[in-house]
Amino acid sequence: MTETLQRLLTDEAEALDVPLPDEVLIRARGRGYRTRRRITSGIVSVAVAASCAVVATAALPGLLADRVPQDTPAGGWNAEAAQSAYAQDGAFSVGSDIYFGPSAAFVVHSNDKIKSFYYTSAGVVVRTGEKAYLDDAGPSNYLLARPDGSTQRLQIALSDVAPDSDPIWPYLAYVTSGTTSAWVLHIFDVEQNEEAARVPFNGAFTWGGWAAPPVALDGDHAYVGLDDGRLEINWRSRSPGALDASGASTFPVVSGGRVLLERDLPQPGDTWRTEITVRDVTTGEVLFQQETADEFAQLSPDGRFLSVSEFVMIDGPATDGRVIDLLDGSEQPFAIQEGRGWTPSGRLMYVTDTGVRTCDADTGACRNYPHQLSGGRIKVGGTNYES
Amino acid sequence: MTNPGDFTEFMGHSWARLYRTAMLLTGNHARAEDLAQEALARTYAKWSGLRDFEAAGAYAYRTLVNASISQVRRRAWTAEITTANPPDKSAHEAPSSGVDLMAALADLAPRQRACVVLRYFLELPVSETAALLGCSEGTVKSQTSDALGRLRILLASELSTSEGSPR
Repeated sequence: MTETLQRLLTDEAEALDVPLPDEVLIRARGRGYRTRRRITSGIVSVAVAASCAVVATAALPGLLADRVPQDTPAGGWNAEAAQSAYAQDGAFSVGSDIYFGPSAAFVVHSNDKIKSFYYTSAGVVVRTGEKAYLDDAGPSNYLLARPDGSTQRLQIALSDVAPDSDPIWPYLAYVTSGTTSAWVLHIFDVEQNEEAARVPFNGAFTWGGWAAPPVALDGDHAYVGLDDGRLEINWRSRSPGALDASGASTFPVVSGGRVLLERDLPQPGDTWRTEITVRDVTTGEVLFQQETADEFAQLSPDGRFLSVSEFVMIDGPATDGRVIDLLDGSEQPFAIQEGRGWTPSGRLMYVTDTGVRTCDADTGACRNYPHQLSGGRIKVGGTNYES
Repeated sequence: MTNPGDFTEFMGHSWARLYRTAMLLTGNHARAEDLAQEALARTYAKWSGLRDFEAAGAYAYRTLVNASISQVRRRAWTAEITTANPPDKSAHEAPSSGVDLMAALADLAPRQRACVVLRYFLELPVSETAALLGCSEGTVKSQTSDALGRLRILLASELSTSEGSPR
């Protein structure tokens, strides 16, 4: 019987039309996993792109965002409620609908797919493009969705770069290649729709595969992941500062003055453990260190909490995760279905099998936002790489 | 230690067989393609730490098989969120052998199906199958035996020349 079964299996398999592999997609997804291991922006992030093109102001082809009556209370858009919902519970999308909490929805009208969110004080910056995953060749377009119900296409179009934002400021940071320097850090004011600062700097960047080094934005400071270390740049004073070798060839993740570092620890049998370290980004003092299973971590926007879980398989089962209070090392469990991130106010945000949940990292009290999963895949804010 | 530039070669070498394995595990083209991509993507993420192509292959197949089992366990959930890409029935509608092998495989429990595919398509020994599935060799043997018993019924005409119990 087994020989017959072998023949049947082989015949069936050999008769299949095998599609060509999409190497770009595969590498992008792989890089996403690698990136998530090594950082994961707490919440907002800015990025820069090597090929930064200006988008014509008047023309907004392809991407328009409108309010829709769906789930909106009678009387129209409730800006106050949306503002509160955004601050407390961040933003997430179901398919092409973008939500601030339960009652507000924008819908992206275009062929573009939503790639990611970047929280800012002016609203959520929505990154879109041809592919739903983050690091394709681009271009990516950026739209500011404000809690008052208005939207604005931002005058930036970036290729395959890793921006970052800080949820308490209206800026998106990103890097492009320079002309008189190797690189240029851009600080883009999303509220004014114009660049606020530009800082040239030098350094080798070969490790990540993006068109320009990834950046983390934490207040007045941007941190760039170069081959030799994490370069600190005070963008207000336009001065590149120290290079911290502990951040060499890693995605910078800095929130609330703390930097998250993750290191693979190969084990026998091609398995891995992960060393998670949180340091004071200025002094280098180790605030937290733990060797875990093959997991990845995310810092909350204020740098106080750390969420840790295993990789979540696409369409896979729920995975146990935990939130660690870096003040005292206490832990709280949670079960993550797919994406997880943070809200601008520092609530843990993740997808369950019935919708989106946000939880107070201090008390564990949660709010649930049920959503019809048939409406499309759910993406949450507060995380950069979802691949 | 693998070289970064070798990944393209590894992918070219392994893609078709990963995809075919995923098809036998899932019976769904879209899901099979996603699983094969997922397996290679995770392998790429670990690339610098993998010793050689053999280690990379083992890691890719382990990822593929375990992801497929996870997916099946969550079939209801998956069905809900993939309505934009309904299950592809072509493999069921046009079985190349004239036997609805895919339908028969679909009737097996996820781990049984994985045992059958690993043992009789990839032709892995029990020990390697157990390592890939993260279970004991005894479990592989019993799961395989149960699967073959079930297939013997489902594919009675084609498998009429029984060769006895699994190796």
